[in-house]
Amino acid sequence: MSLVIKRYIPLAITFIMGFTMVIATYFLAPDTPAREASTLLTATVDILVVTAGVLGLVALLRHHSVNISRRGRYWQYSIITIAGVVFYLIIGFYGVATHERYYMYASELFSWFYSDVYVHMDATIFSMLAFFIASAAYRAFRLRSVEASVLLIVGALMLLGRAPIGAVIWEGFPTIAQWLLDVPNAAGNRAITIGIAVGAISLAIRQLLGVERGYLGPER
Amino acid sequence: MNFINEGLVASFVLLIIVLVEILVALFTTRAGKYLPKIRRIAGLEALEEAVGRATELGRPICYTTGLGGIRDQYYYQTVAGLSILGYTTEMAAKYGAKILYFPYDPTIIPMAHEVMEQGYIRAGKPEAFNPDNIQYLGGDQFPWAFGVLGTMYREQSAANIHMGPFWAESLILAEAGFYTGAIQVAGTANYHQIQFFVVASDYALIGEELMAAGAYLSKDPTQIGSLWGADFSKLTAMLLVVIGVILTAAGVTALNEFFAL
Repeated sequence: MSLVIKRYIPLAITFIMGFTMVIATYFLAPDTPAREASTLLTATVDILVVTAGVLGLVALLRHHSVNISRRGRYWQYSIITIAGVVFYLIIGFYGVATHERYYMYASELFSWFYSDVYVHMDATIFSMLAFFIASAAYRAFRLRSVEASVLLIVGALMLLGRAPIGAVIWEGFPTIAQWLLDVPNAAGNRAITIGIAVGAISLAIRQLLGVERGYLGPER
Repeated sequence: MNFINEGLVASFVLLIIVLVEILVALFTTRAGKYLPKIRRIAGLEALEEAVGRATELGRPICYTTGLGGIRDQYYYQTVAGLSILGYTTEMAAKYGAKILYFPYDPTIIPMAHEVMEQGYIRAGKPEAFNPDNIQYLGGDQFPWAFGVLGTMYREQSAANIHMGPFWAESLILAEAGFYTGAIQVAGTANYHQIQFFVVASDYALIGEELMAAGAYLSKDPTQIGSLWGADFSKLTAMLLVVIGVILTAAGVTALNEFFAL
């Protein structure tokens, strides 16, 4: 029974859903009842996702609650995490209750915390990417091998071609940079993209036929 | 009235060609008529090295599958990442190494739970599975990335494995992992992030190598057959490119029009 539930039913659902979506995409004309019915399948996924959101919340709260109760490593940070989650939940529900709206974003308090606090913290974290790029570029551009040397030369040409000072030094730099983008870069990019597309189709066929089951966990 | 929806004829024809090629190869190998050799993928061979290093140092392995879920167009990468997670977990369980997994999308939590638990069962150590090793850090890009980053620093992870769809957080994770001194294995099919993993990781899976991982690790002839079939599809693509170049040079635009180029 366990094998039926954990293996065969998921594989059957995968096959039926996948096959239905292929039929719907190619053969069912848009704005027809049959096509509309097929789109309902995607709505079931949304329901699953919403349910999983609650699962995520529970998993987060459980993990940090256990860490606090056991006085685990850095348990003080767990308090901050739980306080943040609870606080955001409260102002979200408060917004819904007081504004008689269905969307939490309708609450000014919620929106303020999102737009004026969270977004700025998020942007700060994102901006740290610049430092990581600098340190990664420093290592990548070191002349250790032929490949690294090619990377360094191409990188320098791209910088000179894209920065205004490059054209002032020599007007040919922007042309070279554009050629590098349009020819060698585009060729390599397309080769990788075709490989990815074919690989994705191959993986999808293996999954639809139930040949690849690794994502369900190894066989017992 | 068109049989196939407008604008999708070329796509459908290509799909059928690729489908036939892959299925023929798949059933040929399944019947035992031919077993193709697949080239060594260094990034996947390195997984054992990564787990071994974590075992020797007594420090954990940090594993992520990027920003993927089950409902987006990148799900196939997430699924490939979960296949590798199962394999890595089994190996970690055998060696006695601790593995921490950080799902980005909560829809992945039940799948990851199942995959990891089965890995421990397969290794003969079901009692060693700890669900707390699946740590949900939130479903927003940078808070999640810095949650993983913080854990890598605090736990001083010996190995970091990133397999799945990644965006701007790829370099944050890979570069931060480099500074913890961990061995890093990473792979993504998001072509705009591959270069970051190549630069900052010890081993990188490039594009389709990620999707081939499940078949490669399973050693199952049927799955390997599908990789062989995919090679025929790539040959078809190359052939179409060459024919397209010749026809375009000769002033014939029929092929371009068919593919709406």
